[in-house]
Amino acid sequence: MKPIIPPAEGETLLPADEYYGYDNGFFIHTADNFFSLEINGMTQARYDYSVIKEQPDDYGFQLRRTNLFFSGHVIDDSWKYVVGAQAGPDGTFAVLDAYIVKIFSENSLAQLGQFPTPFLRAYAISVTRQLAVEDSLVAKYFSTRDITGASYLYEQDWFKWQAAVANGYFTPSYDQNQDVIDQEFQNGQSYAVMSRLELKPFGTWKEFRDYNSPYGNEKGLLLGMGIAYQDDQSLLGTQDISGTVDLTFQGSGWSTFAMSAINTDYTNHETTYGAQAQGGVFVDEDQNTVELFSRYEWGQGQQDQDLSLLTSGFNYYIDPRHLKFTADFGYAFSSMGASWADETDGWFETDEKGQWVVRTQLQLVV
Amino acid sequence: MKSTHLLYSTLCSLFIALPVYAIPTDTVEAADEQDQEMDFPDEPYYPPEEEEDDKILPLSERMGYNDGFFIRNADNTFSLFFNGLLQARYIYSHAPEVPAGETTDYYRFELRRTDLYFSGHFLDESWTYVLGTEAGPDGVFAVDDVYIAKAFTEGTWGQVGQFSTPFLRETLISSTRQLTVERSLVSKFFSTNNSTGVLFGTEDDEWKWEAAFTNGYFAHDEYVDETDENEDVVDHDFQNGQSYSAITRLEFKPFGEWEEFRGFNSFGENNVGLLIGVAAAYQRDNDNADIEEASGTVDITLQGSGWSTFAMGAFTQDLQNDDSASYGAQIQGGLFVDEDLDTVELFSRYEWGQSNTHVDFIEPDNEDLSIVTAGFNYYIYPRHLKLSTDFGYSFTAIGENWANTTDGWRTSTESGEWVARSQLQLVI
Repeated sequence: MKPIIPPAEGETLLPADEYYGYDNGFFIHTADNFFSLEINGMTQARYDYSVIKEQPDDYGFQLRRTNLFFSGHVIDDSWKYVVGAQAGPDGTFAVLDAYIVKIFSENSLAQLGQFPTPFLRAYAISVTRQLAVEDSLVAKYFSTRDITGASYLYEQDWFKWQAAVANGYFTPSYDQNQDVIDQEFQNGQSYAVMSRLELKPFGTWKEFRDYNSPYGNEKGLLLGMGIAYQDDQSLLGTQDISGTVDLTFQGSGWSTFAMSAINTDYTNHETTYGAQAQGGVFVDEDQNTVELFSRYEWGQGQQDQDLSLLTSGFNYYIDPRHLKFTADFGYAFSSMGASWADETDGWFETDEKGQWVVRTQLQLVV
Repeated sequence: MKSTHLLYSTLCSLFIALPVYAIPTDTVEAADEQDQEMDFPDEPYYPPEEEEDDKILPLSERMGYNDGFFIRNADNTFSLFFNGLLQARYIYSHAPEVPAGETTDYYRFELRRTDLYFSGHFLDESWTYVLGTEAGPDGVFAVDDVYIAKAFTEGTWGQVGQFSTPFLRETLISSTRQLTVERSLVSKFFSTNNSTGVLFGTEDDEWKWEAAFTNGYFAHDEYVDETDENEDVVDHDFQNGQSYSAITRLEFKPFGEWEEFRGFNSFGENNVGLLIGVAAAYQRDNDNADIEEASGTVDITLQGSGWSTFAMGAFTQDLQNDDSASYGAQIQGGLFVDEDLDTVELFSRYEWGQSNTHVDFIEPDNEDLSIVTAGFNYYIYPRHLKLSTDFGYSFTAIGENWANTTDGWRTSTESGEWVARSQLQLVI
């Protein structure tokens, strides 16, 4: 049997204090660093209050997300793994991410399994690093979410390109754990291809991992565009194509983001458009603890379902990256059609304008 | 003393679902009087005093990796192992004729198994535990194996919980150590899978015997659900409170090592070995279905340095319907073809079956099966990273009893269905 080659004589093993510890996750390495395991967890405890005209108010606590993630490498650093489980408000754990990564060089890698698809920037950003309590309804509608397939990524200092081939992707629904892929859609008769290109004239990739730009971050600009196509050969028989462009511009203590997206359903001859713009600013320069934000989103959906929504609020970072309290208030200037409504996050289908939602959330990340 | 030991273990088992502190004090005290060797804690556990330095493990033995990440406390009274498994797969299948509403071609990526396992020992190394969860292609995590085991002596043990039942050899071998991308349809039909109950086992250098008494097991005919996405996980619907089963398996190993029979793959470093197994199972379901059936299997494994062969036969008889008996058999072989006999393994398998079941409880449903599968394994790192690809062809139509959509074999009405599968497997 092929041995796991021990370190050569005189080769230094990891010092004992590097075997285990915490570095953005609890970790344990073998002394020779052939194997590693990192454990992360996250919970989002939330209270929502929704007021919908002509309907009873809706309110309650929920555990919006409870995540357990295991990741690391086997044999050498070029083979990595991620197994992530998530429970939504219904409390059932399901696979969120589970994939194997092969790193070919410092610029390229491939992955196989279930992973976030390379299309919409909003979905590429972790739910723990969003600006508001929750992603926009526009992002949720156009997102291709996590999907099972294979992808390739190539990255340079100023651009990044990723492409994937996969089963057909998730479509909008009221699923309680909507981050988790709709496996029923992976019916063995559908496929999807998608690709995303990002250009970064200045800034660092790491600082674009979130929408929050505290004081100390350097100025950065990111331009992105994505395209996705799916074909379902089953009885649904749908074919659709989506596209998106986005721009992120941020600096020390402030961040802005704008995007637009389009989806055309060839089968039903329907096209949906959406756009959003948002900005955040830290108001305490010394401590980077309080961030105010606002977001406007607009959409025009199937059967003339329009969306016009304004959300404002604040983040209070009790501990940056680990403990965050967020509160926001959203107001709908339009009715809320079935295409856009998302009951899990407080937005209910209604023909009346003027629905509003208050949400508060405490988020813990370990 | 041994009988006292067993008595005490049985008493402990009765309270196994309760927190340790809920065990009646008088029961513990009575047991302590009979057997002072058993140091069952009735108060919070405290680590040994500093002066007991000879019992303290060095740091390097308290955590690390040894077929799983582990962490132990300093005096080795508790341990935790963590293991994980990912099987990412692509399937393409083609059936010449399919039932209405289905397409002739079927293809998809799937995460066939995503496993998270926690195991270890507590109090002393004779008490071990396993907590294993698995998500099938549907992505939902469910309990796979969960049990507590007690080693009475070096070669005897008992366990209680949910575990692999001691019947079919192919099922007892981990999905990570199979020869092909997936177990055979024959084994899936006859398998008793996991079930909840108790088990007793004994083993020496040549013999191994296990017997289990459980709730009824995931079943053959009436309960087969070809669309079940996580079939490894026990079907709790069947554990309806009105069923039971008894299962036993005997293995004889005239030569070879037990460790080398844990998988169907025999690497170059392995010795020549022979394993013969025979097993029987009986289950009774007293609910409305009123099922009573008996099953049996025999198998033989012969392997050596860089090669392996395996053959088995199995049957199940519905004791309520004389005309309802099913038979199956398979034979397979693997051969390493690289110089070091550890990287590239070619394999082939033939399986045959004839099922006569009462799916609708009215008329017998007779279905034949004849499939050949061939392919290769490429071990990027043995035990940890493996790429497997195989191709299967059916010489018969695939009936509902045998079909398994999750693994690519769909119900078809004509012979000639074929399935191509490729899988990357990672084990930590």
